Amino acid sequence: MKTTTSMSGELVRLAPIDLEKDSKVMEQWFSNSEFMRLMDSEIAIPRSSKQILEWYEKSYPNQYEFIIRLKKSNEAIGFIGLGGLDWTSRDAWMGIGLGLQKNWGKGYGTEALRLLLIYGFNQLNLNRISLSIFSNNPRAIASYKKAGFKIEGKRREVVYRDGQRHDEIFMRIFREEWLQIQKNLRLIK
Amino acid sequence: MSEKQLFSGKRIELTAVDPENDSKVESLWTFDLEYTRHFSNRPPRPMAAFELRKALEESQKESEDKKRNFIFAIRTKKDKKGLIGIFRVPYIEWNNQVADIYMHFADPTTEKLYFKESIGLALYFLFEEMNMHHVAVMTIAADRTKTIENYEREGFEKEVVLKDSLFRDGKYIDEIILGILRQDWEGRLK
Repeated sequence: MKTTTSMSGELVRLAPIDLEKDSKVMEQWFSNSEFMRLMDSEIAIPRSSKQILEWYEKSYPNQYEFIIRLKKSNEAIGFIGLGGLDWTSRDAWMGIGLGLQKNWGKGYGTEALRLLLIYGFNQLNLNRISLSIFSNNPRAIASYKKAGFKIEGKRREVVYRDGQRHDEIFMRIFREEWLQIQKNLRLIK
Repeated sequence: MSEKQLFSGKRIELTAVDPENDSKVESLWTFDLEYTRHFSNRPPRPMAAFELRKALEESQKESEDKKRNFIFAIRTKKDKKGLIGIFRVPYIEWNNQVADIYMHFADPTTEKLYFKESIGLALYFLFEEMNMHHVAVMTIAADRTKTIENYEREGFEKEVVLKDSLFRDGKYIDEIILGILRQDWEGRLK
């Protein structure tokens, strides 16, 4: 198996944003409250394509942020990226979101995540990649575990939705752990 | 009518910051790079008074405009102009009743003398005035054992250990996230 940096897998590829087109598609994602409430702990509020476009224009140069595209149709289905880069400590925070429910559970996110880890470790030379996720999102937690992430603790009851409180769970994967998984995969194949 | 004075303890007071004068004092603290690294993701460096004055002014203005952050000077009642510490609430999520805090003192001796009283006022303000549910300290390098113990003694728990997430002195060390829940804080008052 090739582990050199590649932005393209079997189902999806990671691409820079096509600002005019994608911001219009993203307007749909940002009116999907289930998506927004799992994405972060802020107040979910619809965003217009203009607002999304302006946000990208302002912050894009500082981010390692990609659009996830289906290889077959070129359709934009989500985003994935690394932020909060600490080059000295070689640590970064990752985030991923698939905008519409119809694209969940099809292996798109799993493959995008695999591509991002290759990029982070082989291209950016990171030592660890971190993320946080809410306890009411067991589907995502399971897929991060499958990718090799380990839980490092939780901020208790920091998300309030529909009368219930949820934890923010912190996970990470080290370069060494990731390399070991690559090795094992090759042995199986 | 409430008799409780939110910002005044036995020996110390929480007051507004004075960007002009406090920045000069804070500049001396930034030689401690553990303090300075909280200002950005970039490698820490000591900071000049003028840039800290600007940062304090901006922080105050943002606080007024958006109510998403607060900043207090910690001063002794004996020396109302002197600065012994800064108490920051850099990030508030009102919808979740969650706040991050960071408290810093001039030196370890000052911290030892005034931590308990300062964090006592701070937590009362956070829970009883701001109506928070959870308060976190994000993040402390694991080698700051004295400071971590100080928080733990006041009811904070180590909630997350970010393993080897900070490079310093030729090696990777852990960072800690500390947190306290409203019910734990209330339980301690009984």
